[in-house]
Amino acid sequence: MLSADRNRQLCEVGAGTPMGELLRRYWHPIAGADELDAHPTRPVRILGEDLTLYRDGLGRLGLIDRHCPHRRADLSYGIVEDEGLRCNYHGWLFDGSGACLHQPFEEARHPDGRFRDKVAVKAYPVQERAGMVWAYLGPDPAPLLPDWEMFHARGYQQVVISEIPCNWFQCQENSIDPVHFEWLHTNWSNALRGSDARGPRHLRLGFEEFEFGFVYRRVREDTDEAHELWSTGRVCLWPNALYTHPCEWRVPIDDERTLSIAFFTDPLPGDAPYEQERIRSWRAPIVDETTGRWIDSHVMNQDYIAWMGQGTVADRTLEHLGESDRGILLLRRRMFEQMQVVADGGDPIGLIRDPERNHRVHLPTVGGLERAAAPDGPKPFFHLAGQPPEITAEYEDAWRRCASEGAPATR
Amino acid sequence: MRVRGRARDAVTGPPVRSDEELVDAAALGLEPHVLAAWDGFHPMEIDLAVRHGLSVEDARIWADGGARVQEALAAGDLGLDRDEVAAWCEVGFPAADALLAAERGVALDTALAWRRAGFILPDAVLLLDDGWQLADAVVARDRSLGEHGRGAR
Repeated sequence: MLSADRNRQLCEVGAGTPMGELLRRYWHPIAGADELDAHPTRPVRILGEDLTLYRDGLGRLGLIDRHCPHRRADLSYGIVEDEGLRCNYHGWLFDGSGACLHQPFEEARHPDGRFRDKVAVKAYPVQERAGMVWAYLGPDPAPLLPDWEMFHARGYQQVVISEIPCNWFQCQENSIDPVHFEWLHTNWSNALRGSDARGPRHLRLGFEEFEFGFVYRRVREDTDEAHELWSTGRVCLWPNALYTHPCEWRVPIDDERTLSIAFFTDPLPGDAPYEQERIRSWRAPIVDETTGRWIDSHVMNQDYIAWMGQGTVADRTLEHLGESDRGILLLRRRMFEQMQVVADGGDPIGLIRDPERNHRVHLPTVGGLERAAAPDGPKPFFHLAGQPPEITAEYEDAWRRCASEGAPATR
Repeated sequence: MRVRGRARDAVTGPPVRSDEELVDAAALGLEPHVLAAWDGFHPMEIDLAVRHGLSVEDARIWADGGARVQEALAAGDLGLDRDEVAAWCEVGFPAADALLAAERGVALDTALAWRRAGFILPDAVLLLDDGWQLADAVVARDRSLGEHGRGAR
């Protein structure tokens, strides 16, 4: 249970808020990289800030304000050029650093004038990695964008994005909540199928802290401490992700909406190197159009239902926490501590600044990084509903080619 | 054959680490002989212990008392001995709670009172940090019952 003030501290993510400042110290995925293929500009809202993501004529990514500093026109309708993005209203041109490069009519009237030097647009560093576009909204110097080992795993990779109408923190609390696996995913799935069968009960939980967050461990009635669920555990990745290989980031859009952006690697048969030409992304629906209810058929959709069910912003002043919530309480404690660290001018945990360190950074995972493909053929995507048929087809094609000759499925 | 979870060789008894543990150990730079010496502890714990100078003998003694490596090291930092931690475990608190209480200056009697009222210690600690009194916390928590809502009180 928390006071209303403490709850707001955890939930509010705007600039200048304690949590907003903490989260701004980290890189966040904000879109699929291929989402700029069809159209090179895209509006983005992250941490309460409205921005424009674009790819310029030379292929460089830029992330600048949504609104032109001239008269606040929408830059996501701007004109992409080699140097940057030009506002469609009066043609002011900006580059990825936020500098104003050209003001057509101003310069026509005053060829020697330097009004453009007095104008800049908000701009943030942005990079592409693992099929995602990543943004950093914090102060200089930016930390390194982590090169997680998972990005290099062999298999068919895809990025799936959903917009969830609730606050980010209740989503992230799910990342350190082992008991929910038993109930939300196993027992409830059984109930939805008309069965009263129950999955193995949790008997013991353990939580440890490490460089990049927490590892949670569990013993169920069908396992013991020798089992990988305990001996390896799973990672609640600081500050806002769950790594079970896949990895799911919970990126605050604002105080009331969260972008779930998840990276998946589906194993492929054989051992020959596999190169994927482009990591595809897609937006997963959360509503069953037939019934109007939330989709409940897939694992992550079930998580979404739990999060949304807690309310737009979970009211933690009314909680009754118990033994299953020890991980969540540990997470909250560290969040408060790290907010204070940032407020005191320090670096929070989990940043990587050493380039030597930032190479295929290992995270423990049950089942290991390189997993065997199912022997009887490609499996349906069970994580989220709505995988587009063209992505299913691409994955199945990759599977077949890897299986047929054991040769790399290069294009 | 891929090894999932740890198994023991039925004949000779030495532990067989899972593939995941071996990968984790390699990532942490743990040599095989170190893994063998630290049977019963997972790689992350072993790495933590080795880096902070906790011997395997001491780690086993702490583990017998319910405290894993992370907790044993925290006890050392806080100046708690095994008997002090055991005093908490004897009345049903996990070792981690004893460490948290020591870190935040919460006495055993206080922890017991909050527990009787239905608050696990990590929950109580955050409330105490915020200046809550137990009676007020109980009243606040029960607001979810509403003015006329039924429910055991």
